[in-house]
Amino acid sequence: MNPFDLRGPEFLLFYVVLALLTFAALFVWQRLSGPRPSGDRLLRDPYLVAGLRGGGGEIVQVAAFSLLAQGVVACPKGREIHYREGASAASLDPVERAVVEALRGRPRRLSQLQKEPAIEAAVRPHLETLESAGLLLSNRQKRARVGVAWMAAGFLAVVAAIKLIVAFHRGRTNVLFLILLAVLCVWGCTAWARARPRTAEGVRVLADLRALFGPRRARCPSAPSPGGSSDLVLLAAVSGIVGEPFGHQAAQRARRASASSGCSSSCGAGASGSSCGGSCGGGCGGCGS
Amino acid sequence: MSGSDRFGLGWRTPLAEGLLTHLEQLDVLEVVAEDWLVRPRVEWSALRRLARHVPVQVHGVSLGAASTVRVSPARLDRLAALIGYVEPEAWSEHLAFVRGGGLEIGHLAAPPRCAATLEGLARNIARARAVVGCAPLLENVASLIDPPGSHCDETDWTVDVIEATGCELLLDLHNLHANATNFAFDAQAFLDTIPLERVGTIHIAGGRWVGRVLDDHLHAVPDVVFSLLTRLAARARHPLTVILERDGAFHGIEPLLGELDRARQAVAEGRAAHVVPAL
Repeated sequence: MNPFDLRGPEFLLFYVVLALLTFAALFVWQRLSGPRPSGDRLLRDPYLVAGLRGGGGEIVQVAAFSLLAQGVVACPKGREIHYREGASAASLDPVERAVVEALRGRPRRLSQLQKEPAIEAAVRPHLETLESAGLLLSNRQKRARVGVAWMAAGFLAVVAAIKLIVAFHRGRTNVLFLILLAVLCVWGCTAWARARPRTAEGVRVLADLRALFGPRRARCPSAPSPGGSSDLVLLAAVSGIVGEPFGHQAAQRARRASASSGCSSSCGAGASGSSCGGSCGGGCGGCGS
Repeated sequence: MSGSDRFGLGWRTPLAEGLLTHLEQLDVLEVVAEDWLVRPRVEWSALRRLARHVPVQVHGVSLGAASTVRVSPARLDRLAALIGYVEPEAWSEHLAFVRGGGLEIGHLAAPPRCAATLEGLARNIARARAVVGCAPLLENVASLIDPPGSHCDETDWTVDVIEATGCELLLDLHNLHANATNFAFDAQAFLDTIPLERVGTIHIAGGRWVGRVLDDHLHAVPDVVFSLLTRLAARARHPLTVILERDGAFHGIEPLLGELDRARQAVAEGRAAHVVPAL
């Protein structure tokens, strides 16, 4: 049976199945092309976690959040981040130090910091560590993924084009759905090529970390101890910073967190409303366990 | 001997970032089985990954083994699947019943200390051992009421349980303190009587006074529990595993690590004053 002889709806169904099989093949290729998941890597460095979750830009955001929580930088009114003159910048992570250097004498927005060459250079070793650990795709693997994605897109486009030629040759012009479907499939392939460059092991490591941290809505971040906020930064790295972390409210929350020994701290706007002191799954309060 | 004593915390998701950040200070972690049994199996890999980095003990709270009621095979099967997948160093359950007459109590209730309970417990533990592949540690529970229908005191009951089941004891010192206070017996004499070599793991926790001692896991470990820990360490010959339980009212990881340091100190003091038990 020649699939190009199929009538319109039947061919669309055939095309959808073909596209699904193609995407499944892409998925399997990605699973098989990277290192086999070992299941024993446990990331605890917040900047590695942030890099795995969101790349270099996320590392910079978490670094800026860490500095905000430590009181090294401030974000008093809006989105511009200021270095607080006199704040101790000793014993900072290289990325944090690069952010501080970029902010000295000149407030910057987060998006500007993320494009700063010196900060990008400080971020790069973290990403290389993730690549060498087999958690992020290397440049060679990324190029291979783009190549495979374009092959898949080309295959689906050629199948659609042949059907279009056959249809036009037979005098049929109701091909709009096929064109839309083909465009959607090609876009899907290119989107897959542009997706986060995590390996299968990287995806699993991140999923496991999120499972250990539980649902975000149930989280009650630890307050950063004065002069340090490693716990809070790890939470931010795993859960992400949502809302406007460098807005006025977040700065207030971070200051409160630094001053408090309770759990009033914020890990981005998204976690600020979580309650504290609730049951944590053991459910043993007062039950004699 | 004290060099191989171990100290750890119960894993609670609100403490996850603190626990992971301070993992080097923890020799062992305890996870509540039911927290993970309700999750999709794909998430169990997180626990297995954690267990590759630090010894993990799985702690059950809903088996209800100390009962004449047969433990649920389905519940036991799922627990066995979790333990088989995660490969913890040990698992534990409570000397409690949690259901009866088709009703779930939602509470770890102290059972009547009688022969029928002991027989039911031994049967349930034998089933658990067969399904899971190893026996649990059994934890003494706290109670606000002296279980009606009891034919012996807590000390004799504990000794009988160890003999009847062959299990090691997960000795919760705050539960011991709570019951000793609530029912007027001597907790230190309890420690002097039970076979300490059968104590596999120790729990410490805090509670509050509500006319009796309530073991709520929401407060700091009281001094009396540390004193019991010192006494136990002075008499035990084998390495001890001490786990601090806290279920809420979290104020970050630091206070818990501080309490764990106190536990280390208490054990060290006990080891230094090692007492050779009378023959």
